[in-house]
Amino acid sequence: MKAKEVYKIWYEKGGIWKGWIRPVPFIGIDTPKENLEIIDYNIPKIKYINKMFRDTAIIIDESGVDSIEEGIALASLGYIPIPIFNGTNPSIHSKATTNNSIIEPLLIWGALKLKEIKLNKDNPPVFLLDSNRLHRYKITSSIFDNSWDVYPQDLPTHHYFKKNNITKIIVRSNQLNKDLKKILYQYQKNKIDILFTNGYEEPKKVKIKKYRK
Amino acid sequence: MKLISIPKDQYEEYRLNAIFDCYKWDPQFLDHNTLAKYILVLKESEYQELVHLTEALDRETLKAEEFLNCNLKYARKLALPKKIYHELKKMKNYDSKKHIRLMRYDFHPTRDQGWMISEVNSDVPGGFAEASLLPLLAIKTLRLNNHCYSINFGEILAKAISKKVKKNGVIMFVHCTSYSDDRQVMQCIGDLMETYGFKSIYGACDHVKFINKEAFSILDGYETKIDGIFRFTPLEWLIDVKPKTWSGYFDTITPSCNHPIAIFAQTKRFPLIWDLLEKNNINLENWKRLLPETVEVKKATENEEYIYKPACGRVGEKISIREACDEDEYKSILKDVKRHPKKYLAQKKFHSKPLKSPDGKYFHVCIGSYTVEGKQAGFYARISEKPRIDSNAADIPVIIERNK
Repeated sequence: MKAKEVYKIWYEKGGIWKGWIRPVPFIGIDTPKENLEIIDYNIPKIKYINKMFRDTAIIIDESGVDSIEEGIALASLGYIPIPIFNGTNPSIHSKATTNNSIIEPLLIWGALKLKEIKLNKDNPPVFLLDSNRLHRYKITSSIFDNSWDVYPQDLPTHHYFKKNNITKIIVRSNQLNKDLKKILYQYQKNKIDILFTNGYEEPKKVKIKKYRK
Repeated sequence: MKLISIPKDQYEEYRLNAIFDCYKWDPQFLDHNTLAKYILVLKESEYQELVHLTEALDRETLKAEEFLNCNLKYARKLALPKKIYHELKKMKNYDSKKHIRLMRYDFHPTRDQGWMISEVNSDVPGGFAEASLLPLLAIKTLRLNNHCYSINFGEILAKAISKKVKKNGVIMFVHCTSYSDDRQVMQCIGDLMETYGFKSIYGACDHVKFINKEAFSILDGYETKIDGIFRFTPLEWLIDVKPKTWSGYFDTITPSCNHPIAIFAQTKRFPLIWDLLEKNNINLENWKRLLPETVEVKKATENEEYIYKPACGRVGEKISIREACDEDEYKSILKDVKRHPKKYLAQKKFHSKPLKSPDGKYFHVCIGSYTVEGKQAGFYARISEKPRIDSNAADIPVIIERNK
């Protein structure tokens, strides 16, 4: 499948959240890659939620592969998966801090799965992030730093969430990452509840502290 | 000048093609779609007028910056970051014939003063794809090729680079590698340079090492001499990179686009030294006519006719246009101005004249008009329902209506 076609499937399934799908990893799909890693495609069982809650959005901040697989699992419950990966790839043969291209085959796989799932356009979203984005360690200065952060402009505003009846956000991750916390703090300040789960336990409300340098 | 609509049933396909065929990788910002549902059409006469004004401004800018480079004492009032100021004396060897000079002047139609400009993006102007491929896509989508044409900025820039960089040489596209919106700009021109026979490599500012004033790449897998530098990392960000590997950009003999000489006009405090420049026979009459009056912050305190702008501002950030800011943002700008007055300037407000769309909405317009080597080279335009054109604005292709 060509990049455009893959993007189109995700976009058409994206309902009222489709505008936030970041095109960047889709663009890379048509570019030849070397040393592709073997991926074990599977749809995990969701343990922390058993149905779709209309007032709740989810943000998955796991490794990109797990994030997409879990996004597809949540789509089966009715959540609309919105990939917001935003990392670029290095020039071919160049070493980089982050493997962003590993997401690309998963996006193709996800598109094929999504085709089979019926989603209403106003269902709540599940935003997909790659926690590997924060890998910044460079063994030498010659390495291409393609780590990336998520910024407030990559997600809807609290106005848009509320306009669409979203009053809670569950973050599913191993930890609350710094870049995401800054965004969540603003949501919390604007009366959106933030809940956290490690994927095994029931989501619990958390209080995000204001980020200070 | 007018807006024409992209029909609803064609817009999604247009957006998809803009993303995948025209390097428009950032179609959303917060809740805003950043790809306009319109096309901006200039009359041939409006186009010619903008060409004339742009080139006139550019002549003045080029003379001013060359003068300042030879007379650095006049640059003190620009209040450039100290780290930059210390490097400026290295630029004595600057030879404009060796480097490629690219700028973008931002024009606004006004209610009572005709065209006005808000700034020149002298150091690292962006919007390359929107100024090259998007107008072609717009013409194709709406089948306007019999009536309209566009200026392909990318082709003009690529030809200018080809003239100054060694044939089939290596060009390093220096940018902030963590930002995909920087990469889209670099990739657009990098891919084009490959079609001209060059090798394009993408790296950060510290992937360039300078030996005897020549640039070398240390990027993994691409350790080689560089024949051309295309820099998209702003100078004021470059100087924060540690360890200090960036000093060589200021005196390199490797052809650069842009060379750091761009900093003189990049700071929005540039107008504050015009009097000094004019005393030295640098003519700035077009700048004076087209840029609103600009003064030090203290001269405009509590004067509603002025707005504050950061000296090193980009994409409309931190500009205190009251009707375009929310209350918190406005207060925060004023607080910052009070704390760091030298980092800001005050500029007389102009009244942007909005354009009415076919569906009855009003949009403010900013037309960025490029120059490459002193010649007008195309347009990058944005529209917004608010008078401040910032990251929330939508990119709109500019095309020109042929005379009948």
